[in-house]
Amino acid sequence: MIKKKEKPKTAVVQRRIPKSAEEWIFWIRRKGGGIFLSFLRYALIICIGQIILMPILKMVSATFMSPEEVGNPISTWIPGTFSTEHLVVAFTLLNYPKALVYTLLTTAGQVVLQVLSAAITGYSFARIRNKKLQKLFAIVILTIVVPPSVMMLPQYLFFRNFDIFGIIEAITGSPINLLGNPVTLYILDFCGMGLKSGLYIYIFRQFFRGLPRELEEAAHMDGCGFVQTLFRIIMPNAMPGIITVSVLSFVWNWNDTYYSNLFVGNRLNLMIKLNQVSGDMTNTLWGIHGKIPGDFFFEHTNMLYQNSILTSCSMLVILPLIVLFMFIQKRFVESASNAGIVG
Amino acid sequence: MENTKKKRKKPSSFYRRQDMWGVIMLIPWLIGTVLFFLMPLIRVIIFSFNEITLDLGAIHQKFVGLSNYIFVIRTHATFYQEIITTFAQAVPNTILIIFFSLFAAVLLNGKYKFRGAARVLFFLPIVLATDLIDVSLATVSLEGMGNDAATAVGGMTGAAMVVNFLIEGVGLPSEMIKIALDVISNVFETIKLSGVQTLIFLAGLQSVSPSMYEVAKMEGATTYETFWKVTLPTVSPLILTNLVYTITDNLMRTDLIDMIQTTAFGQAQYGYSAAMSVVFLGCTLVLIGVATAIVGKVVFYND
Repeated sequence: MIKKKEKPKTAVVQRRIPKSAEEWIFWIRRKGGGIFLSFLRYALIICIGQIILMPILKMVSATFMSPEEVGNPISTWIPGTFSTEHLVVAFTLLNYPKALVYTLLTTAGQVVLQVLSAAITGYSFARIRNKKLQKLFAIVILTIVVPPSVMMLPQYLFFRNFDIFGIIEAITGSPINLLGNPVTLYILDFCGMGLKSGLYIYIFRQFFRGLPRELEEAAHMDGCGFVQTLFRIIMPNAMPGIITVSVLSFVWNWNDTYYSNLFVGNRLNLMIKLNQVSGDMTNTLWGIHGKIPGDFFFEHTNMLYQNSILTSCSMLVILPLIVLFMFIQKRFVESASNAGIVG
Repeated sequence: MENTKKKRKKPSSFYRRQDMWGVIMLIPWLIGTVLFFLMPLIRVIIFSFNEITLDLGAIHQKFVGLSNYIFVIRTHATFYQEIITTFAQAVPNTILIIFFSLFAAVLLNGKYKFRGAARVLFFLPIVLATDLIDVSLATVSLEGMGNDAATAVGGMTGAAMVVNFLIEGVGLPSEMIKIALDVISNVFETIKLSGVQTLIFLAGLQSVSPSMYEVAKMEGATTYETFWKVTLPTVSPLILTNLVYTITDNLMRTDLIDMIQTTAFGQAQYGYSAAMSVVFLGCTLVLIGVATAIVGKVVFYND
């Protein structure tokens, strides 16, 4: 590290409180605009922050409100009596611990595959010198632009009759049905065709284009093989990109209902479960009435009660995301702004 | 002779090897593109000209020409309306989101206390962007508004009074007020959908070289001028990126997609569903093409 030159002392601007009236006027003229602007800035941030945070706070408040109190105009924000009934019912309804572990594991698998494939593809696109192959990048843009739902039916049929060049049919007599199996999502993710994979490839390509080629040349000089260079030199340098893409991928895969509904439909997935619960509150609630303690309010046909339960369920589903974000927010925000999305 | 040949080849071996590996690493993506993107796309187009029946996963096709399209556009009860509303809504939403995200990025880029906290706050919507949560949130926030209470008392709500004053007192045209009201009521939606765009703009703002600002300052430009002459041109290519992203993101979340899905898997009308998909895709591409063509003229490239 080169030592920074010490600044000459005269350059330090001293803050001075104006004394006379003339000085005050001068000071306000000079700084007034700045003060007004910063006031405006904080006001705006607080307003927008309130819009963003209010629904979450409302969710928390609705979760811990006792069921008798819901709809009572006196306690819209802070519950008069705290109760965990909504939480307990939502917990049972979602089969929470089991579903949480399942969803965490499958989503983590998807993230790893997606990041790996996007990084590798983005890296190739950044480094390849063949002009014809470079032009294939247009297809990546096309995959971002074309809504995946357009290809819903053929993809569905493809996994319905999954086969690799007729090999499986030759062995077992019929193609296998991969629907309902998370493997479908893994295959899609690995091939760079998962949820928003195109965007990740784009981000990685822009990022790797910003890395100097000399890095790899130096590694080559030092006798590093290609794979070794990739995992020892390139990937550690690509940390900002990897963090950005991992967070985005985790969040979007977690929140995704489209792919998981179409190809997996597993009821252990939290999002699908929530979808199913919100579709038919009365019956799903009645389905668990045996597991609910007798002293609970539990009016499974009451609209307000159903709403509170649904809110609690939603809170439980996004809770892991918020926890994750709390942990990673600093690095995420830093890396996202350095991820070289700009190129 | 052989020795010199070897020597000449050696410097380029690094690049040759890199090219080779580049192609090898592209293979999974190439397979994926062909199997899960290009082939499905072609198959959808073929399906849209056929009557499709599924029998235990086996597909029976019968060529029917354009009749699927004619049915979908002329006869289908809601598709025509739905597609027009979808695209008519996508345009103002996109413009709003772009403006808001640029604004938010500028806000987050300045230097002030609690900037870190502000950034966390603004990126929270990325984490929470899901439709299911909206459903429950919408009901919650409706409860919280207290509109019912105000109307029950018999008077107008504060908002209604302001609107009334603007129309009758100030004499503004009611259409203008309506547009403004739409914007205001969509504010949550706009903020929620602009997380990624803000991120992209912020990254862009960070990459503006400080020397540009120094020059502007030396030349005596005000903050306002610096924004229009330095900041905006440098991030303008990102407006294009964000535009494409916003349009596709907007269209991913519409009712139209549910309709396509239920037509296929709920009503087993695979041919109609395919035709709808193709129409939808066509409209999407046209919208993106037109938007990028318009914005592309304004964009400033430094290189």
